[in-house]
Amino acid sequence: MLQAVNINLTRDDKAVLTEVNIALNCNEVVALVGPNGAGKSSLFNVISGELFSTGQVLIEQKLRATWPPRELAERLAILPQSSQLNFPFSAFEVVNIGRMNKTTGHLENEQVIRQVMSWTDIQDKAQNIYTHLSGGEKQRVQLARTFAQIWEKPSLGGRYLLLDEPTAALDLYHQHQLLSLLKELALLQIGSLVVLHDLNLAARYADRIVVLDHGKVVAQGTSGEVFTQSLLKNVFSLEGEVITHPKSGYPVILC
Amino acid sequence: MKISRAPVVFIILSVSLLAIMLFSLMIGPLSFSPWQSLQTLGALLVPQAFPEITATHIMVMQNLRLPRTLLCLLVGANLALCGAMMQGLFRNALADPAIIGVSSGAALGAAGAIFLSSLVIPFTSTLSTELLVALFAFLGGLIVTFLVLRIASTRHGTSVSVMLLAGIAVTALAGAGIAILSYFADDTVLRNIVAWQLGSLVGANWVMVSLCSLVSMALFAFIMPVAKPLNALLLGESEARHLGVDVQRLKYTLVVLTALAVGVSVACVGLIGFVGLVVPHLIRLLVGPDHRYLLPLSGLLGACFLLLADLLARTLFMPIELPVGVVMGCIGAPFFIFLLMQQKQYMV
Repeated sequence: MLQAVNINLTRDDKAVLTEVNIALNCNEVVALVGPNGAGKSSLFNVISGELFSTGQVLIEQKLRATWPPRELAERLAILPQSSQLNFPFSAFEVVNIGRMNKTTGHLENEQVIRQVMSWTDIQDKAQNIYTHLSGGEKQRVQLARTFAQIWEKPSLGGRYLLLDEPTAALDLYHQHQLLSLLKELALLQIGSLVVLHDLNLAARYADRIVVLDHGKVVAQGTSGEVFTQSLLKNVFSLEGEVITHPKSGYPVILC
Repeated sequence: MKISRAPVVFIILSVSLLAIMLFSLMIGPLSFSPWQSLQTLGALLVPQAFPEITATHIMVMQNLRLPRTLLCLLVGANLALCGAMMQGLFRNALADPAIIGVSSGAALGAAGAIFLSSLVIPFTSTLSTELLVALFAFLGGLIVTFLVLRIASTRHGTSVSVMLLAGIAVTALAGAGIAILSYFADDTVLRNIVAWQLGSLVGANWVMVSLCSLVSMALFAFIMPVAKPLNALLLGESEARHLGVDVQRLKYTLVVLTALAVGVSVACVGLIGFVGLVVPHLIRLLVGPDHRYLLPLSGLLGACFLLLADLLARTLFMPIELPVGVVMGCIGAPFFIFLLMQQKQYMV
């Protein structure tokens, strides 16, 4: 289990996160939603270790900071919002960087990379230069890289993915494809924490939804429990309706 | 994939390096035939084996040609390798080893030493002056590098962009220092300072060769440990950390290695630009940005590059020798502009 316990974060004497508690099991997909400035990215950065805060981040009951970096990298992979890479690696080589700590042989390594690239539907661009790809294609290459990083199952405990707005650059087909992939990965004991802006996407795929507003967790639970008319109004300032999808039964938010 | 070209590039560069080395040994006021230079090399090892080689030939080979050729090779390799490392560290293909201020610090140290030795100890031998200059250059480079590191570091780590700006600032400061020294210097001292800044391999000797080869060994020993972390660093600092790279240690390792290598090179042969900038760039065009290939091949091409520049410096206006730094600038700069024109889209 990945846990953030009692996270408090202030910036310039203003509270960014207050008493945030959040947990992620390795068999679930959790969506982190909330309006701009709610503290989603800050919480994300606290969990990924980029921001220093009070409180504790635990992975398998062990403080994040006490994990040896490489062992941590085998269990926790992170996809940031955008990447700064501007050197002309091929897409294949970028995914291969995710395999940097692995001692698997050359052939097996290549198979892993092909597999994860087909998961994110980017295998056709493997030999293309990364910097020449479109935003969505780059995102899918980076996704494949994070999958490649945690490909091997560790002897103890689960694996975790933190994805910061992974769907931002993706077309509709690939948005749905990505989230169903995360659902499948949860079956393999790879839990995902996904920052999402599209509430319908969250409602359709996430096992649990955590709603953040003004640095506090204001609601938490299944999509049916969380998405109500009053939440839409209070948190997102939206006059909306929550209806049930006639076929799948998932809540659908209409505004 | 470009990487698949790496073995071919390696073979071509190795063969070229051997050929250029042979030329470098052959050409000079006393010229050797290819066979003669090989025989003389043999005679250095086993004097009895080649009785037809004269003592003069052996002397020239032992004291002039061979140390100079080896020094060129080592300095060129070290500078190019450091350039490739710095470009990786700064995630910028326009970085060069001088970027952390080490060259300017070394230049100030050297100018200070030349100035001081003319004031305080005007009667000392040239050799001790040379040693003093080398020592000051090395110390200057090291001090400035640590100053830059210090400025850019907080308790959370070292900021690469602050390091870059601090490098620019201390370079300007060192430039001002050199200007002051030059302003108050008499003609002889001024001439010495300028000559030193132009860079030259005339004074090559075996002490320099051994120093630089120690540095080369250290650099090459670090190629494999830093290559994959550098690849990860190109993705971004946090991405590298998430992949399990100790980014702070990587930064320190690279900066200290570069300060050492550039400090020693500058102390031995003065300022030589462009090798560290152009060579990694060229290799990246040939085999792509993977540091596992980029680093060693840059070292190889850097050696070829400086040997070639020195060969031109020696032969263009024989018997007058040009400073190698000048030749490097004359070839390196237009060549780099040509590359930029060719590769505009690559630079975004």
